[in-house]
Amino acid sequence: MTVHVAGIGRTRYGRDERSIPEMVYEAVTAALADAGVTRDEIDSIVTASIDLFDGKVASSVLITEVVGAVMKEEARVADDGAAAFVHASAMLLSGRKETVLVVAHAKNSEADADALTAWSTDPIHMQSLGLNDLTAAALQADAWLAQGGDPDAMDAVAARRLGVAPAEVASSPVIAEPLREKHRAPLVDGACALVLTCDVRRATCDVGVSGMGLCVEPHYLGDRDLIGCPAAQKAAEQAYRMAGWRPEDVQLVEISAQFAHQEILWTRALRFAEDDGRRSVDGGAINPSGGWFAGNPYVVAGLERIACAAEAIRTGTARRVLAHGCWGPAGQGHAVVLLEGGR
Amino acid sequence: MKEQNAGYIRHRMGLAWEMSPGATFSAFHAFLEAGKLAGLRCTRCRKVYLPPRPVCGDCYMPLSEWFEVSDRGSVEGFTVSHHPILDPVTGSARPTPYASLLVRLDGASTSINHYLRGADPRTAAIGMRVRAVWREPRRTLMDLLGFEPTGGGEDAAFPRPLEAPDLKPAARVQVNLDIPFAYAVGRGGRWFCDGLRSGRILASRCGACAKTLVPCRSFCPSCFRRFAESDLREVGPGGAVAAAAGAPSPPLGLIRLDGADTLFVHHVRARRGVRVTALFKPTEERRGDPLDIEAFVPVEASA
Ligand SMILES: [Zn+2]
Ligand SMILES: [Zn+2]
Repeated sequence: MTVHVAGIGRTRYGRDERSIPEMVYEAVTAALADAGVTRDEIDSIVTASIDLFDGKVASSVLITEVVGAVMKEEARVADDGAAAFVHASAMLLSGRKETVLVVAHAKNSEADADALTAWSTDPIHMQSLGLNDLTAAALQADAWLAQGGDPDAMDAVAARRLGVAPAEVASSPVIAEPLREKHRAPLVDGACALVLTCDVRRATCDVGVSGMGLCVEPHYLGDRDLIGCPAAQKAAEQAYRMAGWRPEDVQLVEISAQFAHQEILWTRALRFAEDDGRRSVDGGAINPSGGWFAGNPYVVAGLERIACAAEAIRTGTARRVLAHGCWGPAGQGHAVVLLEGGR
Repeated sequence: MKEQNAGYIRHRMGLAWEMSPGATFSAFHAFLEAGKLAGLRCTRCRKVYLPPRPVCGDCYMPLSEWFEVSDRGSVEGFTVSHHPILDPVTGSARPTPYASLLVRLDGASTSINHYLRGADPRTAAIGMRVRAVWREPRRTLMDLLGFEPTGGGEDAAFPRPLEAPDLKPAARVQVNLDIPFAYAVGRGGRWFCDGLRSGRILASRCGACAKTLVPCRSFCPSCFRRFAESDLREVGPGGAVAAAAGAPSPPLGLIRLDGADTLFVHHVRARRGVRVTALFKPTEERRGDPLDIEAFVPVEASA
């Protein structure tokens, strides 16, 4: 049995003045239309959202109606949308469902993400210190530089993704040393939805899921190997093993990196680049979509990577692609999905 | 609420958002300012939703037909609470007892929940007729203060069709929360916090994994062994900065403490590679939490 990506829907990514339900409805109806299925044909819904970003005790309460979950089963993941995709695929592979909708949303214009993520760390050992996703990423970047990481490579990645000169990156304001403003992807608003099915009659666009993996590292930052990124490595190994692929079989990768050095670290951990990360800068096979730097919200970024990877297969740009999502401080969790055309 | 030094760490979680009410709610608010309670009716199942929402969950139809409902209605359900809860709007406890109602306003198909006002909570009853009490001017549902008993029967004049409003998203709404939390630190956290109060940084030694883990903890995260007090080891206070991030102020660092196999997260007043030591606050200022250490400072500066 194969899971197929049958429909893709998304909003424009940017500042959005609509309410969250209005925004999510657009992405969901676009995905249903793209797949040519009605809401009645959806067996189950998996949503991804983060309460802190939505300012709700349970952000999923906002969207039950607009994702079409009334009187259906709805599972909710408080990680990146790529993790929701993996769970939805597992549901289909169980043989108990035929068609599942995956939805991710966030509005990062509604609050200061760094102020919010400061509350997402362990309250006993780290919360009072002011650690957040930005400072965790800065510590990771500094640890990488300590091991011989090349600051110019970091500037080059950001420059390529943003379409600016490396000097412009290197002269942008410092946000948390060693990170500068342009080392970070723009955080915006939006929603993305995918229709997954194992019913071949509904699989109109011929994109199959060949492998997937999911892995989480310990939470305490000092326990982690911030440079080796073992969770990304293990998630990739799981996916490669499931697909029976080697890394060189992959023609294109879509990586979720909110910070420039993370694209280098994760490209390497996913075994797609040399140790200096140079292929990530020079090769066109990494994040042709622009990746997170094209402007994505938290949570949506990973599902959007999968959507971009599926579109690369649809348009014939590549036949075998890898899509990646991550979440938590300095990428505590990672999800890897391998997609293939003509399955 | 427990004291800081009785096995709890307390934080006030300050949060702020600028939320978009969206076109549906903006239209609802515009009607409200004009003195009308407006719901949306589903063209398929003809349910009138109040408060309005963009989509009928039953039919999965976008909603666009506006109808006015009455500000009087019937109690469909109620409960009387005797336990004080933290009111999410005010941040303080609501005086008890109080009655929460489910009220279906005349003309609406759905009910809204709110509090009973101006009456003894014990008089709440199913079928009771009530009327909305507002704070003027009415701008949002936050100006609905509750429901008070009134007379009369259901008004068949509702729902009344309304002219479709100009749907445009309104200005964002500022939402601030300041939530107090008291976290139980647990066995491992207690050892750690008590250690800090006595000027020591404690780690747990896992014999099976041959690793000294800082901060000390209740269990080994790798082999799941339950740690005992006899597994505690003092590490540091000296070490080297393995990584530093230039924010917030003072900057954060990952510190390789002498004797530990994992890194310690704290504030550092030094760059990567520098030998540092923990600068503890004076004994009387320590509260048994990570901030008992002011920061890690260069060894020379501490001498
Ligand atoms: Zn309906
Ligand atoms: Zn162990």
